[in-house]
Amino acid sequence: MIDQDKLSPIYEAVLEKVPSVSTCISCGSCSGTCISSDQTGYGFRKLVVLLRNGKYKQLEKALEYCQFCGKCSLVCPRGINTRKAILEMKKYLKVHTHENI
Amino acid sequence: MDFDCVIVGAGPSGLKAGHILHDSGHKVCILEKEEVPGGKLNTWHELFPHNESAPEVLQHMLSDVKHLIRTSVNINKISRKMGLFAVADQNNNEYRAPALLIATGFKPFDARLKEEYGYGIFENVITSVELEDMFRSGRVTNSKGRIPEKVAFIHCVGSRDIKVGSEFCSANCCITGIKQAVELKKMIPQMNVYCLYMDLRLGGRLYEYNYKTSQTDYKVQFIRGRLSETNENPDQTIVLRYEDTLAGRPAKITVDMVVLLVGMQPDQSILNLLPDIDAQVGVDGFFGTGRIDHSYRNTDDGLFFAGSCTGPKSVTQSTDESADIAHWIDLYLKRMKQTETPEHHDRIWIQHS
Repeated sequence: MIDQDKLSPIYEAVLEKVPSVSTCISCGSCSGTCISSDQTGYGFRKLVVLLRNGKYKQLEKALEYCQFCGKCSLVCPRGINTRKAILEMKKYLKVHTHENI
Repeated sequence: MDFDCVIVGAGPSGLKAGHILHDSGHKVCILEKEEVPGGKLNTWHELFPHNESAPEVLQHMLSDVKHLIRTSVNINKISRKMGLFAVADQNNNEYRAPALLIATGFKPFDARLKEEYGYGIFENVITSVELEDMFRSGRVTNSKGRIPEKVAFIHCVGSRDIKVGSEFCSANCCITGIKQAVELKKMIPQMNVYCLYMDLRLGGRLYEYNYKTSQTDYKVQFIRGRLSETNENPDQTIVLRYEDTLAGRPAKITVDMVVLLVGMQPDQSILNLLPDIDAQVGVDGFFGTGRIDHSYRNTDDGLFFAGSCTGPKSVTQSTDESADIAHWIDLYLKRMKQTETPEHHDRIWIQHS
């Protein structure tokens, strides 16, 4: 179950570095154009959902599939800097998984 | 030529304001750049939400007109001398009036800017404007002259999209798409019609009803996912790639024809002639302030805006705003004529018994 009462510290941390992540409207353009979503079922939209809901384990696995091609950032109608956001997610996940969150 | 009010644009709002001002005893002239009055109404077949015939609606609007409409007018210059606007056209005719109403409307988004959708590249990718043309000609066909079996409507093309520089919602494309989808199904019941949307914004009267009817009576299929890209097959069918965001899976669909529901863009061509209204252009490029308080809405120098040049609007919203602005122009003109400003104008809204 998604527990909205629990905070997502990594989401907050990523937002600080890439504020545009908060403007995601879940349109799915990113996942539709993603070169690996076809195989993995993950796209940037889903990463944001996992991040927001604190599903860090699943997120970490999903992040491994990203090829950093940047197609998602090309199609995003809200102009989110998706690549930077993914890099930040990776960075914080590394730190936090060591802290066992 | 001297008038009380010159109106630029003979679309629904220009015609409405002209009609009201003329009835209030003012001398009105409407200037229209096209050969015929009616503005964008001329490009419609049927109007949402009642599927009224656009030519009939226009005919009724024009039958109200008892003042001058000059068509094929290209305005070269607008100047202001001694409280009078002087509008000069290509033949050096000058139209002078203390009040100038800008009702220049909108222009449809240029879908070529959204390159990944393939408009202008693939023949079977068309815009809602072109589909409306087909409805008016009574025949909907694809590039091969055949009736399409599968058609997809793409919502939000040129709306809510920072990549093409228009971040606002055009407000009318959702209902236009549903209207056109139903029209297609009425025409060719066996056709498969899909709508790819990210949000459906159906905030007008009966819009939601039309949406529901499109699902129950016409089996229009709604897919939640914004189109990412299009590709063309050798047989000129189009493959659409998107994410079905409800299933959470990337998806594709092959269709015979794609209809892009293009948004409404501010038509800023008049801006060059009116440099001093720059302060009255909003961040979205539409004219006026859009505020509720009329003291902010209306300038006190005789320049007024109405219709879809002040924001995306339907025909009814345009004419409603126009009627409101006509009232303010009427007051302004009366003040200019230094007649006594009536405290209670002659329209009585509420009568207490």
